[in-house]
Amino acid sequence: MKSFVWIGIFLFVSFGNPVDGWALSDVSPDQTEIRQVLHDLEKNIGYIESIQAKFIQKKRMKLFKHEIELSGSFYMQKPDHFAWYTHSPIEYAIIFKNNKVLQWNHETNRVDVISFKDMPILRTIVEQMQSWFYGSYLSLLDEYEIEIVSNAPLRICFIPNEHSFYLKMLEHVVIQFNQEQSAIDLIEVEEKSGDMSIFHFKETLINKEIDPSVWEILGRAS
Amino acid sequence: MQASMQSQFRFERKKQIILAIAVGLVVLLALFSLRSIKLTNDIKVMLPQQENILQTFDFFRKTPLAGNVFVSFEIKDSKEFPKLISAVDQFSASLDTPMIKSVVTGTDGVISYDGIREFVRLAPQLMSEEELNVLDARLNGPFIHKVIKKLYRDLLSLSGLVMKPVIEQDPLGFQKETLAKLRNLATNMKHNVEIRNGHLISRDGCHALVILETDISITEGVGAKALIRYIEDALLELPTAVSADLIAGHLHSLSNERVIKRDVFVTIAVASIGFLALFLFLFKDIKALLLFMVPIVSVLISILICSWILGELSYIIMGMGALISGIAIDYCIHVYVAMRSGQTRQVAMGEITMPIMIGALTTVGVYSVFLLSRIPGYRELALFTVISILLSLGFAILLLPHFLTNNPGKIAEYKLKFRWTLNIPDKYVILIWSILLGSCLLLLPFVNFKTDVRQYDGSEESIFQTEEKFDQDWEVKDRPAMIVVEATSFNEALERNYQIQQQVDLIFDNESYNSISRVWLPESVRHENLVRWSRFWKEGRYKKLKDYFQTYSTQYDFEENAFDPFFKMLYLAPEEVKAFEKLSVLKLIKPRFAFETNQGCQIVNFFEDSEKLVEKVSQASKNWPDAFVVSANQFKQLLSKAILSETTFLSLAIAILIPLLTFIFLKNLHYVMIALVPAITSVLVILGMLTCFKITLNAASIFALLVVGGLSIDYGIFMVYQSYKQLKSDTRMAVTLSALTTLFGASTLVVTKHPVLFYYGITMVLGILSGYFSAVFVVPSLYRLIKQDNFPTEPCQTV
Repeated sequence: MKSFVWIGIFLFVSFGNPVDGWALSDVSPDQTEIRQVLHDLEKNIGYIESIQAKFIQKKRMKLFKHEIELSGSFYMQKPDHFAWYTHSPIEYAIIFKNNKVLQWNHETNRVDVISFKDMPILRTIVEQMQSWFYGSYLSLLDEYEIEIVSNAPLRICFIPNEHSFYLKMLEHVVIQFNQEQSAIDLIEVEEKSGDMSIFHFKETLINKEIDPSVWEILGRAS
Repeated sequence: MQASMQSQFRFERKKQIILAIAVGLVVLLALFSLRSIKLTNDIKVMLPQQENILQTFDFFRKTPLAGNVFVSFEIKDSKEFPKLISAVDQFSASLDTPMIKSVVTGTDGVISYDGIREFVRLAPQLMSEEELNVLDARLNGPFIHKVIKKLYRDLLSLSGLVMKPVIEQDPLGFQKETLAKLRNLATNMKHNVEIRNGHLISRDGCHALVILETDISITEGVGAKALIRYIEDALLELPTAVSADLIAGHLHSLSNERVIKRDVFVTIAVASIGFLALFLFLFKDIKALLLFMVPIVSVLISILICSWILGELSYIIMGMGALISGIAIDYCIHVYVAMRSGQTRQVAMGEITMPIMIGALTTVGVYSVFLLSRIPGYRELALFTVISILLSLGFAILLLPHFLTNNPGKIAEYKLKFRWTLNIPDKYVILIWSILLGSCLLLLPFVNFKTDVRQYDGSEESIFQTEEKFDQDWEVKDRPAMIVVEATSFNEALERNYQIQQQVDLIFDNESYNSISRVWLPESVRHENLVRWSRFWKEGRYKKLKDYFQTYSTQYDFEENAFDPFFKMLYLAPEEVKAFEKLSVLKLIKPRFAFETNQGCQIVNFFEDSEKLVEKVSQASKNWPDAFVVSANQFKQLLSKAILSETTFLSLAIAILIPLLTFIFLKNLHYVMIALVPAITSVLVILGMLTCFKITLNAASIFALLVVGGLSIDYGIFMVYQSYKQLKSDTRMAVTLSALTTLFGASTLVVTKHPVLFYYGITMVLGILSGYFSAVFVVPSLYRLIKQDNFPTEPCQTV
């Protein structure tokens, strides 16, 4: 029975990319105010049914000499569709739908289909991203200490609390919203290992029809 | 003359008082001794004593796996997921008792992160010579270039997030196969569990699993009760959106105990009330209470004698006490009816003693056959019944008449008469009976026999429903078969397990054999592998590989020291065999495969429970003195086979014994054949009716079937005896009352909740009804029809 316990040991999370550390704001609203801010955000963002955007990811990993910049696009559609396309420096795609993970890269031009069950941590990451982009912020209070870093633009820092699954993996995650506080502009992730990532999102389209071919990664394989 | 009779009657009264005091003292002594009787609630008594059956049964019952308690938390809407996680955490944190050894809710991220790296670092000691040869063939420039290019691509992809720790430690994927084995061990589970947020979550995201490990055995009544109460109390604190189901073997044993205690109380109470009502309202005679007292005293003394002989008595057998009392009372009824036939004690007893003894000894003969059974429950019940019947017979013939001797002036007032007669010609009675038997015979090919041992589990329905729900929620797969290796210590068991695995691998492919030996080799083997590993790299391969990496990794902007952990791994010291055993990953695996036992340690290996594989492995296991195969399917088959052979043996023995005994007592073949009619009728009607109502036969109903055959022949003997002896006492009345009392006993079992008692009861009811009607109506008709042509004019002699 205890075998379940170690099923996750194969699967690890590391958010990478270099970014300068930031100082947390000295002025932090109390819990009531934080709840109010999160509640307002949920109100602003909660109506999102689908989202698509381009991104630039700056990644600093200890394994590489220099910072690496990746660019691509991502797509999310309720209830469970998620697609992540990287265009440079490598061409690569990963799609999550119907409890399956599909991976493709230009080099091999092969699609690997993996069960979600075999990549539980990756699933957790995707669900976490869905929580952020679909605006389920109040539920994050169970797992994170939340602080307001700045109000204009609104930057919120999520620090894993002692009950969090991410406590020993993540240092923190910072999310920055656009001026209207209706979409995410930037996500910064710092790992305990020191690896860091910053995702800049642009040309964000909310509730616009997503090209169905986005979910059909198999068409890319020759 | 009248004065002389009155004087005799006064003398009898004095005798009655002395006898009553003597019996009363015996009863008091028996009641007092009851306190010291050891009772058990072990369904093992219903299993044939065959080594592999008992071994499998004991394993299922005693394995620590069976002792685990599972708590399945549920939310109705997956959007409430954070609440589910929070409820699990709060519940786990609230558990603080020595009764619970550990609480498993999921996996710890850091243990996983560091643990897997450390596992990969030390895994070279798992590599065999063949694997090193494969590796050697890959140590060339193009291959290394290809690998480094792939590493770069993987690290920049989203899935690279997952692979990074392994890539750092093992860029060439030396341990890819070992990790796959580890993954295989994890995924070959019977529950469909995913790890989300470090918790064990069902695929629909609406359930979380918590496993509580405890040392409290499922059969430890008081401890189990305290444990379950503690957990249930902790679950009271759950938020309203979250509910929880408890799955534990402990619940079964507690429930079984509750059900059996209730059933015993109900059967004894209902049977007592029924008997009392029958005697008081039908006989309208306070002395009829004595008939009720005789079987009680007999059963009471039998319990004591059996417990002295056997050491302990089963609750199930105690539950059947009510039925036994129904059988034991038969002889008293015959005595009572004879004593109310209007004749003197001497004349009445002279008439009835012989058929009573024949009936009792035939029944004792039937039960005695069960003393040869390989099923201890049968033996226990047989002993109990034989003693009860003999005591009852003794009381009925030797003691009871003294208490029933009436004032001579009132004898005529007490006369009982059976007035229900059929006004149907004999040939029509035989025709109806033949049609009934014919119909039952036609149903015989459709008789079903059930061997699932779970049918003896009398737990309350809610427990089974919760388990069914659990199986659905967690998509529980078929239970695997197992090879269990036993040794005095874990290391010894591991060594033996590895040797067995080598042989098992020849039987079927690696994938389908889920064994800890895939990733945890014995120390001696690991040491040997490590020495070979070090030698391998010292032979110039280290430098060659380092050069390739320097050449190609710079092309992809890797740091020069990016793969330092990997190159350190190539010089793994032989002492690291000790570090391997401390791996956190293995500490997590071990509890699933290895268990401490009273004898030392048991290692369990899993494989698909298919007939073909189990057969092959079982064959091979004959050479493994310290290992055995456990298969639920094989267990069912073995049980089925054993019970079938048991039933065949007992049936044959009884089929020979009953006519033989009857012939010895009646000394006439025609009489014997007629006397057998009720027995044959009851057996065929039982089989036909059970099939008709789609009730499957099991060990309990088979036992009842054979017993009821023995009882029915009593009715046959009495009716034949009555027919040719032309007795003055009303045998039909006595048989009717006998059947009624037995029916009372059996009917009480039909309302019980425990399946063993229920199946016993339903079979007895069907058998007694058919046996009785055929005895009272078919036997006399048959006697009259056959007598015209074949019987001698003079009554035959009996012993």
